[in-house]
Amino acid sequence: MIEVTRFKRKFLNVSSNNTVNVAVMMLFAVVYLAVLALVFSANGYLQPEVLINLQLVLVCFIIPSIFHGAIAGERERRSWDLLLVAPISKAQIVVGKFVAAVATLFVAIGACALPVSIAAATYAARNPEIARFNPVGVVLAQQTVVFAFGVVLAAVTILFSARVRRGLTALGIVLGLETLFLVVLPIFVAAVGSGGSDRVLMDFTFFLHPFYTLDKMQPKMQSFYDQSQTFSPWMWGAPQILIYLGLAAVFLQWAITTLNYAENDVKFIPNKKKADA
Amino acid sequence: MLEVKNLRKEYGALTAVKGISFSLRPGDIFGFIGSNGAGKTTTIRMISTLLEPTSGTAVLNGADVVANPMDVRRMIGYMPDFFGLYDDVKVWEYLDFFAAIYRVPSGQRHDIITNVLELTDLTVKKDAFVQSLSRGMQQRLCLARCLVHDPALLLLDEPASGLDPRARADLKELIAELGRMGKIVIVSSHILPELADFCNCVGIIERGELLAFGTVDDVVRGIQPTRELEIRVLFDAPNAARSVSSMAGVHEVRSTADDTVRVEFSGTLEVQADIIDKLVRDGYRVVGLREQQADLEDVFLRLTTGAVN
Repeated sequence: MIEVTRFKRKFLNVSSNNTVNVAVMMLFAVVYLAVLALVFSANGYLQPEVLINLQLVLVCFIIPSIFHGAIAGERERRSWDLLLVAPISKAQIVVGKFVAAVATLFVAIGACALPVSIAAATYAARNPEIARFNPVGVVLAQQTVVFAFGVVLAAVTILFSARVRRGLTALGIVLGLETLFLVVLPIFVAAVGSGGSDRVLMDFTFFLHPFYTLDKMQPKMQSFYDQSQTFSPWMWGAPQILIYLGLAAVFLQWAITTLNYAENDVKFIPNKKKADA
Repeated sequence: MLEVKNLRKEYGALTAVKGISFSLRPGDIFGFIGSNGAGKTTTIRMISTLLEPTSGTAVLNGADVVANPMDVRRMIGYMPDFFGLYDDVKVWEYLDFFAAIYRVPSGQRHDIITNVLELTDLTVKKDAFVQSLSRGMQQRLCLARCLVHDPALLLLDEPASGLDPRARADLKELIAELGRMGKIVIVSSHILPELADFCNCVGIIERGELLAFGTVDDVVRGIQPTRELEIRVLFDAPNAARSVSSMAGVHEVRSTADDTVRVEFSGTLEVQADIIDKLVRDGYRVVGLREQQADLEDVFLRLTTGAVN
């Protein structure tokens, strides 16, 4: 609740003399309108997956940027103790932060749904051979994957925010992990597995990769001309969504366990040896 | 009623609090005195449920801090030695947020926050941003936050640190008022003369041990069993000293060059009256009288060594 008030005042307040806020908001509005104009003017030539992938890139940066201080920020401003002496559990605090993150994500993806859906509809109108694959349904399924990946990203951000003292440290760790798992590891595995010797490792690595998943959810060319083939974006998307949500639950529980363990002995990133000493 | 029994906190080999015990009743204002690192904050954090005691109990109105922490939290207001305020929120919003956290019904919040702001003299600042307040006002806002759920126990950790004399005087008056309202107030501080002004009991802690506990008078009397009277006579102080030296209850008598007689004695005010009466009857002209009494600072300095854990 207080986070919403602070967020609104910090980023959505145009009445005060906060020129930076006004400038950022204007920039967002201009970019959003430009994307809408681009989608309309493309008149079916813009593939919706371009926008979906762009949306996923934005989620990868926006969620850690907003929520890296969810718990570390409370410690930095020393308001954490004030929450802990209130009659709420650490689990409630963590879940409250997580719900705020998910609500933000939902609003962001909801805002993106309009241009993406228009792009999908106009693209299908221009390419009747793919109309039978329900392209709007495909992008909605892809949006759900982006949302689910955003959820796990929010949980990871909160976990590291709980485990470190400074919000910027949490931000650095999460962005570093994203780079590792979304860029470095796939390139490495692809290079190692390109000879066909370690196909299982490559498949496993790419199975959870959100960009790869979005690509797999796209109907392929051969399907367009083979009427006997059935296609559903959920064949690839559903397992990933379930795994992402499961991982989010695990990371949240980990964050709660970390806080329950660490706070009593005022230790962050607990070191078992030191704690027992 | 707060009952603390053998409360102990260990961090590995280090024992921060070594089994302290005391009890407080509604309306008590307890001054918790100790050097930095003596164990005051650790004790307060255990009572506030922020730290789990290694052993011992602290029970507030029947609720144990370990067994029923949520019940205890509903009954305490904790003001740490830092503000922990949110930027970008107004005074009213800040209090409303904490009232919501403490499950104050939304229909009652407006009236409660109005009353709390009035009590802490912040009504005119209700729409001001928190970061725009002076340090003294922020301190009062922290106290207001502690009061929104009408707690039975207030834990104030170094509330006067960094405040100017005016803000300190205001805070003292406010704490005294909270005591009159029937709340138990625990104030940790090392500004001793101030504590003596408004605390009805004090405890002195060093290296995790409670060295003294009781009313200010009791604690002072505990370290100073005898009393010292400074009597100024018009002339012949040495003979005046001799005339009272053999009286019952008198331990030591000294005279100084400025016609002052210092009498150390034990007993009640009657003994004191007898000493003055004897001097007058023996023909000495008494022109001044002052009782030399140890204060909290003397007690603290005499009981403690300044060592920390």
